[in-house]
Amino acid sequence: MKINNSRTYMKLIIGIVITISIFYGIFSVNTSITNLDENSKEIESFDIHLADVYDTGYTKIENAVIEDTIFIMEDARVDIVNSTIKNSVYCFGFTYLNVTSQSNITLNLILSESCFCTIKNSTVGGNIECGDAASLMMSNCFTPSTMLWKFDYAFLDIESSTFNYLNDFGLSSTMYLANSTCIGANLNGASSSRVIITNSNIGTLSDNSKPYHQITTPSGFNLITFTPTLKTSERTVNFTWIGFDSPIIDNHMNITFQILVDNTPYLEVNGSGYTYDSGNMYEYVGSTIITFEETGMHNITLISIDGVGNNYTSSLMVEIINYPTFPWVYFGIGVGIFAGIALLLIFLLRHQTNRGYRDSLGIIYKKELAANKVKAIIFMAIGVAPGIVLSLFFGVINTFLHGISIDQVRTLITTIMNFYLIYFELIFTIVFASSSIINHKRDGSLSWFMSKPVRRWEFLWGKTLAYMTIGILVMIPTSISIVVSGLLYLDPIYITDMISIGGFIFIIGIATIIPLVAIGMLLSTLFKKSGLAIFIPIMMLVILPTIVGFLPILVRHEWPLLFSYSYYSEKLGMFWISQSGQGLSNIIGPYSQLLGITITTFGFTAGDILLILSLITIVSMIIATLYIRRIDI
Amino acid sequence: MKEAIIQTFNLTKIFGKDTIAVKDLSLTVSKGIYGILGPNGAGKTTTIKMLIGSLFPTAGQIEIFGKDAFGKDKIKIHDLIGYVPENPTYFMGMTAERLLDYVGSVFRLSKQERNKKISSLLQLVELTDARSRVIAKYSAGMKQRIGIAQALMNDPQLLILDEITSNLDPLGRNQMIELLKDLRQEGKTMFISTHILPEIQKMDADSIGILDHGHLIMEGTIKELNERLGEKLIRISPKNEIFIQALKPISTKFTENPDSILIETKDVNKAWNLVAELSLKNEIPIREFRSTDLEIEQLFMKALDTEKINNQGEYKHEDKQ
Repeated sequence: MKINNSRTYMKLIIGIVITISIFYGIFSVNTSITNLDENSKEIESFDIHLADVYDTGYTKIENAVIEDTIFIMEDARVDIVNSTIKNSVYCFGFTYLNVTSQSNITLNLILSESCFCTIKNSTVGGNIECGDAASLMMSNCFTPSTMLWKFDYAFLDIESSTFNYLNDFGLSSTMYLANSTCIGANLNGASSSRVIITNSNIGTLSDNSKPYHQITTPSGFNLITFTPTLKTSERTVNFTWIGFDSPIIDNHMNITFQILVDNTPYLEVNGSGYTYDSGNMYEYVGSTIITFEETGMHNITLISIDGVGNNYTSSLMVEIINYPTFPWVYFGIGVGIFAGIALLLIFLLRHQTNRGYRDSLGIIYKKELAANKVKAIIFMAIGVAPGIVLSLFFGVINTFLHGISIDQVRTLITTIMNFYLIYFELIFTIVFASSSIINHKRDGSLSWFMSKPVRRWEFLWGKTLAYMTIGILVMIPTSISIVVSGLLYLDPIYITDMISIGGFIFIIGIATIIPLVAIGMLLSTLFKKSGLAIFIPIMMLVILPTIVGFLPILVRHEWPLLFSYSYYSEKLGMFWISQSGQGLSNIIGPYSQLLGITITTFGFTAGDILLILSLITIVSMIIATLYIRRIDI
Repeated sequence: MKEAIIQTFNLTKIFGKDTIAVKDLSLTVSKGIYGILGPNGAGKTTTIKMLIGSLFPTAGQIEIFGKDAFGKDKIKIHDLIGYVPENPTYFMGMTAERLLDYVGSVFRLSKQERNKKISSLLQLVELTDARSRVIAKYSAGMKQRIGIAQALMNDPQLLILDEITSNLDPLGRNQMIELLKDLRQEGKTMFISTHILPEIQKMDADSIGILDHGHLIMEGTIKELNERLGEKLIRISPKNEIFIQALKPISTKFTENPDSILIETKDVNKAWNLVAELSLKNEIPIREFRSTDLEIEQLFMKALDTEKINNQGEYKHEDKQ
């Protein structure tokens, strides 16, 4: 192209000059950077820029005027000293921004994503927005046109400053305002957001923020299944909470707490004027003891009301479990019936004996009792062990937790009894029943004894009844020791509860030990080698802990379901679910329906289970009796 | 005819499917001592265990005191029985005193009777000093003796004794034999199994039965058995080659001693005629020619041999359990 026009030449020259100027300018900026360290730079000229992005290292902007928007990102740190930013500044990420020495940000300062910003002796012409866990420390700033916006999780500490207006929309954010002035504040934050104002002048305060509280005890919310129900057998509940309101002005807040029990006003606590500085958390800590007269479901409602009527409500469901009292009357009737049957049998036997019938049952029974006296004493001594162990546990808990509750007692008793019943009864069965008949068959003493005027069934039943008697005797010290261990540390109001627990332990003990003895005697009659008769109960121990482990539910609200097959079935269902869930454990249980797993339940009652255990005993003994009458010894 | 205390009718015991321990055993035990003889595995203990009701017969019947041993009178029968097992296995954890007390209570003896009986029996079996010791700590002989004591606790009419002397030393055996003789004098019947044959002879058993492979091969008094076998034992002295050559052909068994000859033969007269004739002819003076019945051991062996010959291949061997 040919250039023949002077104007064209002028344009070209100007363009070249501008271009050279721009390049020179850029080059001059670059050359003015003084390396403070490897990633640092310093700007000290009055240049014009289109936009600046700082995303790493330390940058000091001193005595500068920057026209464009500044973005501070990632882990950059920027100091603005005596400079003017004629646009907005944005901070993202874990950045640091210090604005000092009469600096001025003409437009807005936007802080977010955990950035940290300090402003001293400087101004911001537009708004300051602080959100997403960003922190702002502002002091000695006279910036009357600035609107402060506080959003979620932000932390603001404003001191000796003047600004225009505060707008709080924060969730769980905190703002300290001290020795400062603003035209007004509009508090719309969530309950957990708070503004703490000290010695400051706020023109118009609009408080639309609800107060906030947290119920701290009793704990017992099941966070997994989201069922906010506390299940306890304690009649008294120590109800505690922390609460606060926003704003807290000069260390004072205006708040009242109303406690409703079963929707009926129970207590009103005036929390106004009181704050508790706990690690700079201004909160009111309240507590009260709530006593429930009746068992069953209850609700405790806590309503926090601030000075302008904003209120916040939360509820706790409490189920006061009514553990069944041991049915002493039925127990007495049962014992009476058994005693009556026994007496009747004794009478009939004596009557028959007088008519020439030779009865050896009583003689064998007495002989077995006498022969196993030492073993019985040893087992009775072992029977005290759970009580002693529990007593030690209770003592430790009582010492370190300054008291022990009936629920803790029930939990520990369940744990210890689970372990104890399984192993103790297995050992008892092996020692007494499993090898009893087998040993006599093997060493020939049964053959010899059969030459005496005794019947085979008398030998079997005499021994069985003796072992069952020993089993019953052994459970007595176990029950008593556990009751005593609990009473040593519990409030006397729980005497009846502990005695009931003792009664249930006794019943559970004998209800399981009697069938086990019967099974042991059956195996002992059937087999020729004691190894098998011992091996089978051990196998039962290996296979059944999952099932037997559910047995004594002394602590749980399932206590009444102790003999309910539906309970075991449900627990088994849980077990299977957890197995298929590969370690997801019982968490999956409550969602079994969602997973399409149906837990079948059977409507067996405690009486049914007792009947089943009795049938196991009777059938085992009938088979053993028929068998021993027919076998060669 | 003597009253039968024990009678078995075709008593058979088969263990498992085909292990025959006792086969068609029919025997009669009358008052006195009845020795049941037989080698190990003959079925003696099996028979005894059926008598005491420990084993059930596969077939046949047992009557004791004229009553079915497995019938409704079983307990009454056992009231009259005392049993001492081959291996003394009582309730070993008990002391002698306690065991006897227990046995006494099973027989419905009063406390006073029991105490009296315990003292006298412990004295009888010479265990008074060891009355408070646990039986498990007794020696084998002491265990056998406490076995006798417990079996006598009910003053039984019938004693069933299985290999009673097997665990005793010679002195103990003699004492036991004397004790059993005394008991016979008291009118008790004893059914004794043993494989130590001379003892049954020492006991002067009234009757013996010989069992082999579960079969009763011979039964009767020693005299009857001798007569039945028809053989005599003849001792001839001096030992002379002429006598030896002449007697060998007529002997079923011939033994040369240093100074005499022992022969077993059915024909005593023929033996005497031969010896007398040779003595005269060769001027050999006869110092001894004595004919006796066979010793029980010889009788036993003879009976077994005879049975073997008679039943060769007839029955297969079945061990007892």
